[in-house]
Amino acid sequence: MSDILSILVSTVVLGSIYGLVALGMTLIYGILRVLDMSQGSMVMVGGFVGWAVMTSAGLSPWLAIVAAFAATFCLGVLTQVVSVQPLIGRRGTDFEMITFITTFAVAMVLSNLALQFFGPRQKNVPELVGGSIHLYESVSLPYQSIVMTAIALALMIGFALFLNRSRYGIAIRAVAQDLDAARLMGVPIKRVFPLVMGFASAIAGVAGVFLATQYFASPTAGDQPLLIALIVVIFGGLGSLQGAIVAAYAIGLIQAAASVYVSTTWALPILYGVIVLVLIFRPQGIAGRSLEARL
Amino acid sequence: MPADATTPLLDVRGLSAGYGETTIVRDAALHVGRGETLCLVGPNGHGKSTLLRALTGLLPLSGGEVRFDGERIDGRAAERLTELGIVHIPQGDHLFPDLTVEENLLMGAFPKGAWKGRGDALEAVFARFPKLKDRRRQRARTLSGGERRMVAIGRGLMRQPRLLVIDEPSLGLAPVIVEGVYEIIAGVAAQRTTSILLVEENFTHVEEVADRVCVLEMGRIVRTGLPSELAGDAAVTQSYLGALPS
Repeated sequence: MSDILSILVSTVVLGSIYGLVALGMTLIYGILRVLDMSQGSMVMVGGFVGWAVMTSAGLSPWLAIVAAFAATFCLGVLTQVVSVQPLIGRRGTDFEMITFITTFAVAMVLSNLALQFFGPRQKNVPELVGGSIHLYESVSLPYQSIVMTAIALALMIGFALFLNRSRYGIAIRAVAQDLDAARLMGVPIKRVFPLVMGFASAIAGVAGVFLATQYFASPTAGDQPLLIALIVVIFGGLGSLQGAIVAAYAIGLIQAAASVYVSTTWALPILYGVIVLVLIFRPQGIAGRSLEARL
Repeated sequence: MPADATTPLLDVRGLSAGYGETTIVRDAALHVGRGETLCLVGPNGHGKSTLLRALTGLLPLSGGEVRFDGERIDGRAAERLTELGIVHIPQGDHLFPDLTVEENLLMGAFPKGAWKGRGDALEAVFARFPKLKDRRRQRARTLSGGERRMVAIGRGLMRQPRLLVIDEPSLGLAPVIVEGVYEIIAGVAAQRTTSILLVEENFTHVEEVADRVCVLEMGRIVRTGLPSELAGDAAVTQSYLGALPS
């Protein structure tokens, strides 16, 4: 019983954080056809912004979340303008491959800048809120986990509502499905693309604050989340939002269950093993249509 | 040029356009008056769609000028032309396959001004195409060809266009459905509030709706006249037989 409870608790927490990073990645892939390798750096930058606001400046954690959102939004827009926009519509280039590399270059620059400014040492970031609820025997649920999950779910639901209901949200999905037709409808694609990458990066930045409170802020803090997000996105079916969110929780569950029943050391190898198996039998992922993933 | 009731709504002079090094449309001139319906006919592959794509900013011009309401609009991007009230219904519909019928129609009202009146516009489109109302929650990819064409036209009507540019509305549809599509177009044309530039390969239906007809051949406009004048015209017949004009 206590095993199952603690698995559930960490599934929800891990899944929510992975979901945030993967949501951004899948959105960017679905709309721009860019496998954005800079998303891990947004997590890293979000962590450092959280550290700067909470520890250095000693301000409220809520402000840290807002600041991380704003900073990574701007950084995401900038990344799009610098490393993706100039390549759109170029003849004779493999857009997906080139932007994979240019966004990876941005990631390298960002993590080296972080190394330069903050040094290689891991920085402790305090909890957003202290205290916990005792659930059962040795299992307790920290308020911090509840807060993170609530914010993550709110962001995911907010995003889904935005994409399904609002003028710009529907337009963003339209751009992903037929670029020329979207232009004929009057959708300003030059504004939509940076906006998408800004929002995607901003939610990765928020996830970065969450991860930093669980672990540390460091120049390499984004590497593991990037890898997990890539796995989540491929597992969910590239470009599928629902698929990514389901996959995020599924992967959180596999990781949590492996940690409890086997050991934390084996959690990641087991996770990768399961994913290899799933992809052998269902290469298009959970929700993807074969090679035609769409929002 | 001042814009008044006597200037044509759309005035095209010396337009050339193509892809890369290849010029497809050469020195084309045409104009569409206020409330007028002009049909551009010509065989496949002779530049009709290229001309439309150049007019509505999807393709850069290599020469010439385009005026809308007296104002130069060539060189403007497609997304900015919609603000002026130019609506292009592209060949093959270009619906958003995974958006619902209703979402597709709503995208027709994307410009800020039109978005406010989207509810009324939607009802007006549903009144014109009752079938679409039943299918409003269905994804566009699941529709039949005729239904798709209705969504494409409906989407174009969502923002009270001043100029409706329609590229081959009969393409790929069964004759009985083409009749229905042309009834709708005739209905819009008869209101005389929207000018229409219609492109069609087939001369048959054009006669029912056109005020004037232009014939485009080998990238040039070779004849302009009333539909009745052109119906028995030798140049038109030659175009369709594929022979070069002497």
